[in-house]
Amino acid sequence: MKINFSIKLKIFLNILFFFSVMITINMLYDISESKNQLNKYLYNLNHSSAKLLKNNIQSDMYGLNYTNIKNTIDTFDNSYFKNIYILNKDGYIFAQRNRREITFNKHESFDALIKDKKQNQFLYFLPIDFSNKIIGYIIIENSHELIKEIIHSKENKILKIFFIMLFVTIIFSSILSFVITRPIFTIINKINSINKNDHLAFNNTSKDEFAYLSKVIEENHNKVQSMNEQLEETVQIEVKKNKEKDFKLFEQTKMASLGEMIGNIAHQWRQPLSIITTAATGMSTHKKLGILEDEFFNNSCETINKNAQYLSQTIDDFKNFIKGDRIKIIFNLTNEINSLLELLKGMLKDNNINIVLDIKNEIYINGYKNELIQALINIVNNSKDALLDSSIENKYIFISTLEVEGKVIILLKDNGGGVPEDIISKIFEPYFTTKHQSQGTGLGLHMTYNLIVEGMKGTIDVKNVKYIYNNNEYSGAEFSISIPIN
Amino acid sequence: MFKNNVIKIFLLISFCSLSSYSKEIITIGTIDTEPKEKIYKFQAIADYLQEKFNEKNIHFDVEIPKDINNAINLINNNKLDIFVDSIYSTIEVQKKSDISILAKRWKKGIEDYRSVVFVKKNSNLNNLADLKGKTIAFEDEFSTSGYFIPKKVMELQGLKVSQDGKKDSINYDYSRSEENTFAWVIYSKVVAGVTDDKTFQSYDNNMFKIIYKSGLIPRHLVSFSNKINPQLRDEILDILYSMDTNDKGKESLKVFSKTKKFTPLTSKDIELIKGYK
Repeated sequence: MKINFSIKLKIFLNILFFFSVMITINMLYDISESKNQLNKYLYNLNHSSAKLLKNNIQSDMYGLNYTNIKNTIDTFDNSYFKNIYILNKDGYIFAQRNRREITFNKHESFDALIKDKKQNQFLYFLPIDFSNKIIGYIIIENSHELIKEIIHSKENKILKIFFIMLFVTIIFSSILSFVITRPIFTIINKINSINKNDHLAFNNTSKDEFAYLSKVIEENHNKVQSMNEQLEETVQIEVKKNKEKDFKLFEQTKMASLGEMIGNIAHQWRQPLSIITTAATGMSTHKKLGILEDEFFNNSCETINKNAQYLSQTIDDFKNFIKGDRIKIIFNLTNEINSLLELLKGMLKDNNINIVLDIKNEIYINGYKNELIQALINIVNNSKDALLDSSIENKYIFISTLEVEGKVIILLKDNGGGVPEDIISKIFEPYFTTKHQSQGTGLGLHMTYNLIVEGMKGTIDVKNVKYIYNNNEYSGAEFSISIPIN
Repeated sequence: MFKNNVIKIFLLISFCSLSSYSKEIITIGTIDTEPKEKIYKFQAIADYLQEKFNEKNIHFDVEIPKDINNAINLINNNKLDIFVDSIYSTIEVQKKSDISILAKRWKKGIEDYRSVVFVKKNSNLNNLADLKGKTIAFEDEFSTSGYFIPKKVMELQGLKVSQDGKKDSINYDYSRSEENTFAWVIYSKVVAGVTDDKTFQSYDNNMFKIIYKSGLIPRHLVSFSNKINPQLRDEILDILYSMDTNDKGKESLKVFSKTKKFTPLTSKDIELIKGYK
């Protein structure tokens, strides 16, 4: 995981780390050195004491003068010496500092000392010779407790110094990081505080690197500001152009949709107009032949009226569609899909396209109804074109809706074989079409995308799917629209 | 007339003084090569006696001779009147001076003790005769229990005691301390050591065995110069015998090497002392 620290914190941590490592190394070195010094001191103390003791007791040892030896070793009173043993040549304790009585016990580690000859940390061993013969041994046993206490005390002191130095390091690091970054923050604050169109001036009179940096930033800022102004102007012009272009495109698309709608309406009108014509012609013929009966007349009038109302309703539907009011309203999705299909049913029938619905009732959306219908028409039209291009016998468009976690999902799937994989990622781009120039503008799905994503804050995806319907396996494109209910 | 009276009074005072005690300063002491500590201890007794004799114009002082000859000289020159020491020193001093051994000092609370000759526990030496041809450790030439008594006993048993290393005699060396005596026996520098029974008991008895034990020997003896007025001597003795009966006396005895009391010699003591002379 990458953590972004501020430069101030980075400087602080770096200095802190560096000095902490240094003082830790120093502390460890101090502890090690103090132990070495103590060991050295102990060795020298033991060595010189043993040597002096040896000179003092050499003749007494030869004469086995216990009293003199005992008195002599008693004078070697040093807190570092836990005990002093004088052994005879066979390792038996002849005298020892801390005990008055005379024993005849062998020193417990005498054999090991003789074998090893090395002086361990707490036992110093020196043979007593007389006339080139070893007549006994001096063993100085150092006080473990005192030595440990001294080491512990030294370690405590070093630790105290370590923590003081650590504290000073923290303070020093804080101050240093503050001092180093202060000019940077001055620059940042200055940059943050100026208005977009203000001229940047630091007024830094010093001659350090930050003054140079300030100058460079100042020059660059002013240069960039000038470029920005130009760019902004250019962008505004381009945006205006794009808006105009988009409007034109939108209009073009809408007109294309309108054309398609007119085709649909024309198809829908054809039959009622034919019925009206037949009824009117029937009445006229019956009148001419003098056989116009009231019942026939009334039935024909009713038929004409009924079909005329149907035509009127069709006009209302059409008007509602092309009116294009962008009003956020609560609408029933199922009803709107049914209305849409009603509008498209002529076209669908002409092209032998079957609609298979799996729509959940009572899904209400608070949104832009017309834009959603427009988007759905575009997708259905796209599926229609795909189905017409395919040689499949039974053409289907499946529409299903479901509600998931405050969103409504609308799935539109056909069995037109799907979108080639190499272009599927581009089908929502503007002016992208696989159709013949006369058939498509390349704007339908782009507009659909904009209507769903930007207009309704939803999402739209497409993928190729394979599925089984009525025991037949089909493949086609599946559009998935997700829009928030509110 | 006045002149005659003055002479009469002076003569009377002089007579009285002379008739009571012939000496004004009584000196008490013992032999020691390092007198400082002994002076302090003996001064406690001198001060106690001084208090008792204040009204009689007698002064008590302390004198510590360095050795036996020094003690003899002092006694012979009337500079040491009461000699308090071990039996050996007392007998040696008595040989060349006019003193009477009259009382016992219970030094360190001990009335009397025995001299013992000891060897290592696993030694096959069982009596003094077995020591013939071997080297033993005496403490020093002034020690009663560590030299005088055992040497005397050996000689009384017909054994030769010498330092010349002859095979037919018991050879000896001076260890110069009781600790050395024990150390020498333990570390086999000598086959036997000599000490008193109280000291012996303070060491690890499991390591040694006693091959000779003497009869009871008085710990310390109190001798008086025969030049002291007998009346004064008896008065001093009475005061010494009664010291343990009063608090002040007990306090002085405590300073005097924790002496328990002074007691008269018994007939047994007198016999024993005679035996060692």
